[in-house]
Amino acid sequence: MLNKLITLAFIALLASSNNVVAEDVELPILSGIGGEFSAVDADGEAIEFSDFAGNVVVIAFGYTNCADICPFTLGYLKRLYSELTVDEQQKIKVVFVTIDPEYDTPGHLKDFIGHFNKDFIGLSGSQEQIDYILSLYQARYNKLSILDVPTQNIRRVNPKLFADDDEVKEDKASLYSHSVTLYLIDKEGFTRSLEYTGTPVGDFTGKIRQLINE
Amino acid sequence: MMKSIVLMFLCLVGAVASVSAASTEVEQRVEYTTSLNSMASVVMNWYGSLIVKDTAVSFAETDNRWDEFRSHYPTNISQIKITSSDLTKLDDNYQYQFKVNSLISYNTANGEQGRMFNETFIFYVPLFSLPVIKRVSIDKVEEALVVNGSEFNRSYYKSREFAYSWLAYLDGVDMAPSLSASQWIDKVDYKIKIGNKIIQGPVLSALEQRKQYLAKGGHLLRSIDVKKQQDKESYLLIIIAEWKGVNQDGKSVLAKVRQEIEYKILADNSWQVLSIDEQHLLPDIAPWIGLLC
Repeated sequence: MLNKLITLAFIALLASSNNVVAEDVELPILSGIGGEFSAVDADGEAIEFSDFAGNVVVIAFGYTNCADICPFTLGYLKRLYSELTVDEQQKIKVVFVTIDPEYDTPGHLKDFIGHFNKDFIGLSGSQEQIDYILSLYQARYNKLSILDVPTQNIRRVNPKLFADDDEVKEDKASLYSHSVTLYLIDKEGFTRSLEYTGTPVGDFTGKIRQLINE
Repeated sequence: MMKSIVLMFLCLVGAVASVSAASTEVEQRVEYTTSLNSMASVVMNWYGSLIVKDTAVSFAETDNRWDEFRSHYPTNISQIKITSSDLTKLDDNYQYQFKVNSLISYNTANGEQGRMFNETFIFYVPLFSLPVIKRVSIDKVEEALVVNGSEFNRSYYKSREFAYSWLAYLDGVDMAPSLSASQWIDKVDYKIKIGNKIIQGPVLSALEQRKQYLAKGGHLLRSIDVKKQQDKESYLLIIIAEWKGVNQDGKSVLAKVRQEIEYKILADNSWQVLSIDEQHLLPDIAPWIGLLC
């Protein structure tokens, strides 16, 4: 009986080892990309990046008034997340960092992110904190116009909530262009791959699984 | 029980083979980059010193046993443009063949002329040692068009000679003579920014700390640029190199290394490095890196 158990255990080990050999892709540590930072989560609580230690993390940058790439990116991440098993979902954090913390308050960010998936994490903070995070990941953004635009004129998936119509009419925000890179980070906090919404979902989930199983 | 032992053995063989393959890959990278960079430095010296002398740029003398061979080149060379090169390791250990095709422009009484040269250098390069030219042959010479502009001059080769020597030095080859390192290596402030980690200090101590992150591997030069500093008597040599290897924990690492090396040219035309500033950038692993939407 003991022999059979040992044999089965080794078969399982060998099978998993073969799987790893067959599917693994090279995911070197990308030197100088990422690091420890502090921010404010969607509940308004201060957090450190190291709070995610032990989880695989996917980080995206954007803002809630983004009419095109951000909803597309979050839709892509929603699909990616749904391809993972429940167990795998518990080992990954999908993090969306706003580049417009002035407009994207923690509460608004929470509503926006929740529209896609309630497990996703929205991070805001002071402009200084956000600019520091962007510098760590070497992500960039540019303001597209000097003047703010009425948000009513922006096609948005999840408009900010206001108490009355006057506030809605007066609401204005800036528009930005920004980096579209998705950063895949391992359980120790090292950036291991750079992806985008053009990455086939199967390839991306494969890399996520590889890091979960490391 | 026998089955278990066989299976355990297979698992272990698989694991060892995988580790061994990664280790071999790093060893090969080290050997390739150190030999390439050190040989390229010698080749840059070879061609740069063929170009007609000016007051601002000097090269170390080429071994005088090549004087007769070098007399086969035209005189009054104004520019040399290397159009292609190919490095091959020969069967004999430590020997490499470096094929170089170039266009040479030179001045004559009848105006500027051009020739194409195909040449082969055979180097002897013991690992981490200075390369020695064993043989050189001119395989083909043809009349050719004159090289446009004035980019491929002595300064062009001097900056590349320095850059290749420096990268070879970073990878462990003692290139101190070709870097004039004794004049500056102990005095220079070397600042390295890797994410939110900053290393700063004299070259040797900074490199020692850098080894935590880039322990074993090699630099491959990707681009080079030289700028005169405004309101200063110094220049900036901007190097971008790709580094691949392992960190001190043996984990695979990829870095896009950007260095700004500030230097001034001394009275004897040698370079004195004043400071080195290094940052690790987003690696160019896909065409959309850096794209904004």
